[in-house]
Amino acid sequence: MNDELHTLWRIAAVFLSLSLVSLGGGNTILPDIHRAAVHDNQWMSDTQFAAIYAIAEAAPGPSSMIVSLVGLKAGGLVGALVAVAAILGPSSLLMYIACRTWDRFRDAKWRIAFERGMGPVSLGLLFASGLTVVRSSDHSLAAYAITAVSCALLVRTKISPLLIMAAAGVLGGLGLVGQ
Amino acid sequence: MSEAAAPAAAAPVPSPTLGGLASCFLQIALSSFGGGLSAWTRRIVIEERRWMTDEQFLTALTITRLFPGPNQVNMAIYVGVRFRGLAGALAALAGLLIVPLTILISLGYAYFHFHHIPALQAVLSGVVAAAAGMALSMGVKIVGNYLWQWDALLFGAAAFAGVDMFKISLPLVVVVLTPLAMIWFWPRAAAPAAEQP
Repeated sequence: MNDELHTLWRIAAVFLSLSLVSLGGGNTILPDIHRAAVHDNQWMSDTQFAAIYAIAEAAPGPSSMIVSLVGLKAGGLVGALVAVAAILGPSSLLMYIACRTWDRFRDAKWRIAFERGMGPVSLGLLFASGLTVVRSSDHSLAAYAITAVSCALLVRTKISPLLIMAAAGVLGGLGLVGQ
Repeated sequence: MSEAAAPAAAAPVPSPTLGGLASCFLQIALSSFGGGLSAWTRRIVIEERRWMTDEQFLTALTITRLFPGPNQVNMAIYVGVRFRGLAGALAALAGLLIVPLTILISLGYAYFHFHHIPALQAVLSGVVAAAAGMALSMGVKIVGNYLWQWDALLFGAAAFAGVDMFKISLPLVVVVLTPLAMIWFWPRAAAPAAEQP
């Protein structure tokens, strides 16, 4: 019982601390989620992390709901709910306050500086997130090739990500990717 | 597209109810299987339900992207608060999250239960590689906006290096780099129109 509570507390602490820094739509926190789930707490293996990332991307809803699957593995259904509440609570509260006050600061210089400054910082963090997933996912030359092609297709075309993942799944099922 | 046509086009659409907000964001969540949430939000909130104008939506999009948290969650809060206050935000959030979370957690259960099956592992080895491409594509898409802007790229590189190469925790990287970036990009009042707030 005490162990369970301790786990739930760990889940809450990890995601509460990341909520207010989940910039760029929440995709920037992947490196820290990975570190917490795979290394610090050893809730899952690297391979499992890659898999739940893919599942969270394919499922409907915001991609940062990957935290629910980390919580699920660590602490069951309650763990999943704690993870979601922890990651969304602080940022949602801030957004709620912002909705009510932001228009007042329309011409404030700090707001303009904030808007200009956040973009580049988020950009670097997005690349760090991308590489985190690549390192967890790809263990063969064929896998790197699939990653490169799917990245190029998503940047250049409007093909649905689901279709791309399905096609890659077929290649994997045929044994062409290796483990 | 004349000025006179504008008032006629802006026919008053009744303010949405709590149920309307919830069902709208449920529709958005389910339409967006596999991504493209922003595009779907625009289509449903503006074109189908006509709750906001394009310009209002752009403002909303800027705020939701700027603040921490998933964009779509922030958008649900923004639209909900705008029409129905706190209750509206909660209704929109419930619509956006409950069904997708149920689906996702069910998939998660299935995965953790069956993940040792070799055939599933083989299929997933392909799927995760494609998903990794998706994770990379987000940065690649945005970097085009900053080509040749060396100061912006330098801040991006510093953020990347901090998290990826030096393994510094994200909160620390953000807390250090954000004020520096804000100072660097602080609007300089070159024009005489220096407004004092």
